[in-house]
Order: sequence, then C-alpha cells, then structure tokens
Amino acid sequence: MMKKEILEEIENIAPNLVKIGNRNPFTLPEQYFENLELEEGVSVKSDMQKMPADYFINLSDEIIGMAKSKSTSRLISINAKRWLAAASVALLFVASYSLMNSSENIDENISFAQDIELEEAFDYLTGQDEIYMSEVLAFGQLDIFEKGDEEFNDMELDFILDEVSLDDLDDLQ
Amino acid sequence: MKALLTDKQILELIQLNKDGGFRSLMHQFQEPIYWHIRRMVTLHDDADDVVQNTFIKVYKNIDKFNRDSKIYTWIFRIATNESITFLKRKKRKRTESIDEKEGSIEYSLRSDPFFDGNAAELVLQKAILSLPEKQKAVFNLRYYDEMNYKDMSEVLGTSVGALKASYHHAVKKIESYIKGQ
Repeated sequence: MMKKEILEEIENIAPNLVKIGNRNPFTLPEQYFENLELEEGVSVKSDMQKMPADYFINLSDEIIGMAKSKSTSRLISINAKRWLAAASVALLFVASYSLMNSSENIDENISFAQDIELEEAFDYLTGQDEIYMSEVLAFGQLDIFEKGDEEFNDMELDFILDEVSLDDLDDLQ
Repeated sequence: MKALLTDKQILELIQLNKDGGFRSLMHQFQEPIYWHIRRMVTLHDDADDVVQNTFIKVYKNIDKFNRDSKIYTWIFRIATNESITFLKRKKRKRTESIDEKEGSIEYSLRSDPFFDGNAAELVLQKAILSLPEKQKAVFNLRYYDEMNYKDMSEVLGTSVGALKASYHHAVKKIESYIKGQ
C-alpha cells in the first residue's frame, strides 16, 4: 500500500503509474527467508541464479574477510600509482626495444613490432585480458598525472584502483 | 521482528569490538540496502556484487563516520554511489560487446526467475531502466523506499528543491512511457 503523501504527490500527473502501484516486483528464492535459521554453510542453492539460503547470515563475515584482505591494496598512495603507471610505460618501451635487438634480422623485427597493437602490448604487460582499451583510455583521461592526491574523489580513486590492481602489477615482476 | 539499535548503540558496539559491532550494523541494514541496490541494478547476481562492495566500504570507513549524519542515510549514499558506478561500468562494457541485446538488463529481466511482476509492472521496470542512473535513484528512493526528501537530500547530496524537480520529471517520463505501451 502506497503512503498517502507519495500517492497525493503523483496522482494528478501520473494516473497510470498510480494504478500500477509500488509493490516490489522482485523476489528471492522461497527458501531464502525460511532458511535464515539454518546452520552456517547449509545452502539450498539449486542453480546459479538463486541466492544461498545463508546469504545474509554469512554476508557480514564474508565482508569483514574481504575488507581486511583488500585493505593492503587500497593503502597504496596515488604517488606510488603514478610511479607504477610510469614504470609500466617504460617497461613497454624496454620490452619493445629488447625484442627488436634480440634477433639477427632487425628489419624483420621492426616490422613485427609495428604490427603489435597497443592493446595487445598492454595485455601482455599486465596479463589482464579483460582490461578493455576504452578503459585504458578512460584511465588516461582522469589526468592522474596532473592531480594531487587530495583532489581525487572516491569514484575516481575506485576506478583507478579497480582498473589497475596490485595483482596486475605483480604480474610484471 | 528485528530489535532495532540506535545509531549511538551501533557506534558504541563498533568501538568496543569492530567486527561484532559491524555484524550488528549489517544485521540491521543489509535487507533494506539489498533491496535498494536490487532495484537499482535489477539482477540478483549484480546486486550481490554491489552489496559486498558497499559493506566493504562501510567497514573500512565506519571509523570516519560523521556522527551528525544518520547511519542509514550514509549507507544508502554509499550503496547508491556503488550502484551508479556499477551501472556505468556495465553499460560501458555492454557497448563493447558484440551482442548488445543479449547483454541488456531488460533482456535479462524478462527471463529472470526472480522477477514476479505482472505485465504492467514489467512495463514500469522497463520505463525505470530508461531513466538516467541518478534520476533512477531519485525515483526508486521516493517511489519504492518512500523516503522523505530530507533524507534523500543526505543520500544524494542534492538540495530538496532539485530532488523534487527531478522526481517530478522522472514520474512524467515514466507516465509517458507507460502510456506509449
């Protein structure tokens, strides 16, 4: 049942919407609420779409575990990120240079290097197939090299941290 | 029926024992936050990811929580930001995929076993999906969560006047979409 003030606010401008109402049309598996009292680890999940019966019971423990495990990667400063990003670019040049000089036929290798798409090179360096070129470009558009640490908002920081994780950088070593 | 703790009680529990206090906080807020996120991102699996990210942020930043605000509007704010970020990222990835139609939320909703809406409610959800992300948040908070404008203002960081205008605009767009079906 819609609250009176919500109803009165829109009844004149949206009569068709009012007819539909504001009932929540989404559901969870029937067993979900019934099984909230199940012991930890017991699940009625029968397919990938369904939510585990103990979803809310275990959620807080999972969140605490994840928050603690992710805390080290979140503590890296933006200055360090700048250095790491610069190091990635430098590594790209070093890799290309050593590739060209390691073979006897320099001309052939120059031609090969020219055929390497920037995206492939980035994927090679980061080991991350799922990093899309547009995201790499968007990463560049954040002007991270021109901003001070204090100028980043949460959304930008998360974007940068999500797109270039420490795991990616570990793969470079 | 859950016994509700006050913000002060939750913060005191967290001060005494962070993990224990946080579990109490989650127990109190996880269901309304889940439903808010679910209405924003539509699919359960996506909601699950966003719920996790939201509460990880809450756990990490609870020590810096400004006690002048309400915990629930603060968590709703984080949840809304996380949902909007998620939707933007998902949209960007979808535009890069070959089969855009199959990757769309609308397409997934039609085959979602956990959508219980009738034909009219499906049309309403499609109309909501057509709104820009922030307007969608405004509409959902007011229409489904029945939140007052003052709390919405805290959640969305926008003035009450702007929220009323945005909600009015969203309602008219939705009405027009429904009429067109």
